[in-house]
Amino acid sequence: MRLLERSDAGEFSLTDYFMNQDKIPPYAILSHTWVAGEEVVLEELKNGTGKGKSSYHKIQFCGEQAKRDRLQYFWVDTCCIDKTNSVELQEAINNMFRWYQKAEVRYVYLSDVHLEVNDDLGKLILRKSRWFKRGWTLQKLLAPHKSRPTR
Amino acid sequence: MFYDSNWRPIGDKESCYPIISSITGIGVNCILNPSQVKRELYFTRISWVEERQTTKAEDIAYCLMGIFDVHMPLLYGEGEFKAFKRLQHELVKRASSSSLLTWGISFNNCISTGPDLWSIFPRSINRQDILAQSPKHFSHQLVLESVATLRDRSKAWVHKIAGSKSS
Repeated sequence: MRLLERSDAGEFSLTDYFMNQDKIPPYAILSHTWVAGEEVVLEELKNGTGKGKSSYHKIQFCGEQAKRDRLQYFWVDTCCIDKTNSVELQEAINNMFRWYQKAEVRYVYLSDVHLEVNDDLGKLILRKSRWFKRGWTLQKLLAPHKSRPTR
Repeated sequence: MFYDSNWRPIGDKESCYPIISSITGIGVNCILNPSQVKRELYFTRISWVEERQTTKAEDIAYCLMGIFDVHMPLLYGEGEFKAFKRLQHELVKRASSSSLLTWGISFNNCISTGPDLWSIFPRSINRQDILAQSPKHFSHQLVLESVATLRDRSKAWVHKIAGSKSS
């Protein structure tokens, strides 16, 4: 597993690959639906070209929110997996459920939900979201939460 | 925590569970306490992806691996049918997998076809076809009470196939 880290200057960098699952530090995790062509992939994060993509804000938010949640690291599927490496991709998919399970906190971004003033309306509006219609998001909904002390 | 398009917090699973259950067809107990998921019938768990979409066809089977704690090689290009059959083969190796054999049965055709076991399976009776080709055949509209009944019927069906094989 490879994690993202946010510097104090607001820049993002990738950690080395953690081969040993037990050595993975605490992290936050994102679940979202992909926007074709607009997600930042690993290479673009490394060389800085990802900043021009419309989905870059997902990485920015997760980095900032993780910091507010007192976490140094976070994981976003679009850029933390080297999809050109079939061995790594295979391992990532087989471990995805576990990685969600072990996250300290989870952020679910619903790009097609626009919260109304009334909170209950916001919840009803979840019904429209694509996030509930996609296959891979199911396990993100159902991965058991790591038990953690309340902050 | 769920966030809207502007990253405004909407709520977490604990505050949104009734609407999430209604949208997904997943029982409230599994949403609030995911450790319950492993107690659900295989049939029920597969039905949760019945209406979900994936970009790659095989992913509708691969995205269930975590739900079933199954590890298998990803063979993109094999197609949905083969991927889903491989997943089911992994599940069939385990005990209590008989609910897998109740695919393709809706409550309506169960009632209308009566007790004839052969006619409620909407496919040719052939051992090769014992497993379903897609999660779409696991209708979540099947009332759960009938699953237990059908499970007994499917066992009888397996015995019948086993009998015809040995004869």
